[in-house]
Amino acid sequence: MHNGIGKEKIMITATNINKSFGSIEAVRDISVNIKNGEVFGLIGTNGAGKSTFLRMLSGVLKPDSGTITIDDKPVYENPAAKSDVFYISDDQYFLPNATPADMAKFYSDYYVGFDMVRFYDMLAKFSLDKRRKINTFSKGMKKQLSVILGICANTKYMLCDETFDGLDPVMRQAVKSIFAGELTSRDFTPVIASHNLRELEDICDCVGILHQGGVLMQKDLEEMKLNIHTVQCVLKNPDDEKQLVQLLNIVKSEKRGSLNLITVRGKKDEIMQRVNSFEPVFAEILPLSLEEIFISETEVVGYDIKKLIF
Amino acid sequence: MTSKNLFFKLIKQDWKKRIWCPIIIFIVYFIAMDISLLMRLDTMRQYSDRYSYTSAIFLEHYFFGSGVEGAIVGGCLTAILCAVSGFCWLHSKTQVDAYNSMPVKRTLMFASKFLSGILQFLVPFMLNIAICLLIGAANGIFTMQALANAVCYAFYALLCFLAVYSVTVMAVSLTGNMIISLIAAGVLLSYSVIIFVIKENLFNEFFMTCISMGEQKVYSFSPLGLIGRLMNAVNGSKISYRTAEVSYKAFNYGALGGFVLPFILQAFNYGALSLLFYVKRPSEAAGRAIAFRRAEPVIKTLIVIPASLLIGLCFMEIIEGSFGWFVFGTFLCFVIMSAVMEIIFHFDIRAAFKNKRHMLFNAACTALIVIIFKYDVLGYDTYVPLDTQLEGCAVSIDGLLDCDYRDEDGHYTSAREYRLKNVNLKDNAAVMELARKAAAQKLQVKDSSDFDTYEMYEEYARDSEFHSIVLGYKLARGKTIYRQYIIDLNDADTHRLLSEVFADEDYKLGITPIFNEDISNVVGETYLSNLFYNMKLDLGEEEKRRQLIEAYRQDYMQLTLDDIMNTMPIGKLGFEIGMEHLVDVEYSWMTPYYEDEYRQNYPVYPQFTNTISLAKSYGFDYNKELDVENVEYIEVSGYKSTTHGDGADAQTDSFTITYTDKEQIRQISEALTDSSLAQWSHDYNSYIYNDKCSAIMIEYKHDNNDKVSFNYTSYYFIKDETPEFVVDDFK
Repeated sequence: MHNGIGKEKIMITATNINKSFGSIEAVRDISVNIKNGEVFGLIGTNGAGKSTFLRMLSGVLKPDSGTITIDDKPVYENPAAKSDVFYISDDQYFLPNATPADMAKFYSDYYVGFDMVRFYDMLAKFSLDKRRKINTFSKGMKKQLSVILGICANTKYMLCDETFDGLDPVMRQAVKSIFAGELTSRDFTPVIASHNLRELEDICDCVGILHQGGVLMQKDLEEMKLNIHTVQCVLKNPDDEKQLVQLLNIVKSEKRGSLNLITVRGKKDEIMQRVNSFEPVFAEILPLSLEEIFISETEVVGYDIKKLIF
Repeated sequence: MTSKNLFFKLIKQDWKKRIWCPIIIFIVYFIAMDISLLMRLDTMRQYSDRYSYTSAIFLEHYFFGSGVEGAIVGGCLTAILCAVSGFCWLHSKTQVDAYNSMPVKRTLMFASKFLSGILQFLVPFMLNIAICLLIGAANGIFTMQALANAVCYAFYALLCFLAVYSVTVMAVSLTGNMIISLIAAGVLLSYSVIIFVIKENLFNEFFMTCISMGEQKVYSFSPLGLIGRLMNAVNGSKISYRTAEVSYKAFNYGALGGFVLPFILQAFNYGALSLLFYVKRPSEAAGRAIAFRRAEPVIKTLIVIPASLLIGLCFMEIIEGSFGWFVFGTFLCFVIMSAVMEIIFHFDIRAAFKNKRHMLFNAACTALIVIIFKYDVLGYDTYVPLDTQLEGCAVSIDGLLDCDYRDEDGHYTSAREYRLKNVNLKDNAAVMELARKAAAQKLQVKDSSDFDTYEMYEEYARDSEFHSIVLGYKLARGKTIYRQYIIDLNDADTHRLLSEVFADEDYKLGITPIFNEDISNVVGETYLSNLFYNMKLDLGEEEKRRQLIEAYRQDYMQLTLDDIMNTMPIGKLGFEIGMEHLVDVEYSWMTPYYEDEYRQNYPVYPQFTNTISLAKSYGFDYNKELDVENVEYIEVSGYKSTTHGDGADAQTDSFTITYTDKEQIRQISEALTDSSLAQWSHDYNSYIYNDKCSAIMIEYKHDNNDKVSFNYTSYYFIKDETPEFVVDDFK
């Protein structure tokens, strides 16, 4: 889900970031590059360092070492860089006794591009009363309001910490569609942290997995989806199976009766061409879920990812 | 991008966020100022006869004058409220995340919050002052002086507010928790006072020569020390004023001018430190005790050591100077405070003894301080400046020829204070020899509890005659260092040296106010009295007064220490001194009370031939004895004692004997003295009293046989001259 505006240009760069809280090492040597116009997902278990990383990315925390730049500008204590960033924390702050209208005024003081008209329009669409005290809102309503405020701030970057948690499926889809709309209409790069990979599957272009303060991997989803496939096939001759395995770049292979389930790296057409050369009784390419892709990828590098994120 | 007027928008935001704060401040000041002013004006209208001044004077000099004390206290409390409410968001992770992620420089955010807090005090406060002035105008008592005083009133309240506000903001920026912030603010606000109290007490308890002279200036590097000094100055700024119509205490803000710069500097310095801490403060500090981990050991040291010494001193005070209890109290507090600090730092009781190395460091520092004081490592008690360093020496021989004196503001000045201010001996070798000897001897006055048996104490008391002297070493660099020494006059050399000091004309002139008084201040009324008779003399002519003072001066200059120790004054000479400023003893909250004059009394010794002769020429005979024919009887009270074997407890039977025999009355009258005559040298010749009996009443006969009683309750018998029949009667 990206807009193509300036795509491929890396706009957020974190290099060798370390952050400790006393004796606790929260983030360890993280290096992440986030391209302009892509939706970057940050996955990890609780305590993996997602929030700390986002807080550093938003300029709240100062890294102990390493550098973070946004559009080539250091972010910490730099209003010029921070004016392009809207950070939604997992526990967003609202002024005491404030209404959504108060919060819009509050943020409009900081972000000159804040779109008040659109704010009230979106509030109406989400059925949120602009004069109702926020402290009477449910958790999900507060999340919706946070996203609306973030969108209307019109910043290039939006950092969302567990933003989708607490949203009902309908609202989740609504938020996703807003993101999609923003991505197509303007220069917009959301970074979304979550401990639930399934939440991000259909929205993220690129995903980084954090574990115990470090990045396990960072991959472009599209690229991964194009380069890894599961082939389900039944071959006539059992000897062909051995030959096929040798021809393909196998990630994982499994056999259920006469049915072969083979996870293979490579382009879809090339794989099918090689499978078809054995004249199988039945052969088809199955779509891999993000979860399956990551299981496969991380198993290759020696991690049992199922224990880490699911 | 951020908006251009963000600074003002942030101030506006802050006001919206905590609008309750200025509202509360306004209400409190409204009650404390406006309503109380209305009530007072109403009372003054209803009961005008109770007041010695008008409502206009009240508004000028009391409400907007001495009332600044209340404004200062209010300013301090408000400062804490504004600082804590403005910066407590630093303790909330949610708010820190929100504000620190905003595209605003921390300096700008700090400046806006800081200024907003000041305005939240200033706006409601100034509004209330304006309302008070309007009330004054509505009541027809508004004056330009009231307006000027109101401006000063607001200015000094603001100065105190700024100092306390800056320190409290610093405390909040240094910490990550509200309770810890308030404790830190308390410590930082009063730290200089605490250190001063500890220092003074350590010096007084451990250094026997230590003496506090003059106004003790509390250290003022923290606001409460400076505010304390300001409050003292406020009290000193009231000058009594009286006309035929009104009398009141005029308040003069000019006397407080010296405080403006220190307050501004303090507010600026602590404000700058607050900004530094705010900018450097890590966002993750929210919720922690101390924002900066590296500051924890420094803070711990700065709190644990003074607290331990303070508690040790308290134990020492409770157990009457016991060093053992001092050590115990210090150790106990040290352990507790060290543990408490670590628990606070980590919010974990298991961390009580976590940082053992640092604890050992603090223990070593504390022990070092205790050793320095206990063993006088720095030589405080033995310090005597070199003759080359000395420009002069102030001397006070305590308890010898003490005189009353009031300073130019009419305030009572002790004899010691007067002497040390006025005596400046130069080139008197005896003074420094006496000082070196006393410093080397380190004598201390002991009491019976310091001895194993009462006999030992009696022997000690018999063999020693301790007296106190205070020396003020005036050093070449302009500083005066005071030391108090105990000297033993039974030591012949000490006796000689003290006699030489007393014999110095400069000393005698310096200790006697009447010789230094402007003759125009000496009022004509002069009082002459001996043990039984007195006379009021009106020396209207200045020349006559000068003559009498000169005669007295000539006699006084011949007086020796031995004369004082061996003879009792036969009478006294009292001069009335007019005061430049009226003495303002406020006996009621409504009306000041005034004295125009006070009396300086001086002893007349039998050796004062010039004075006695001049007095005789004015009709008063200092040597006139009691006319026994006019005395009905003399009552003598005393006791018989039954002493136990150990000499410690004695059972006494008090009784009174009345003597009516003329010869007995004559003998008794020749052996008496009284406390008013003994006061000038009591410490130096108290041994001459017979402590077993005293004459309490002499009843005179009058020509018409009417009897008038004089209750001279303080007649004493001179021990060696007590008639034998009296001694026998009280055996």
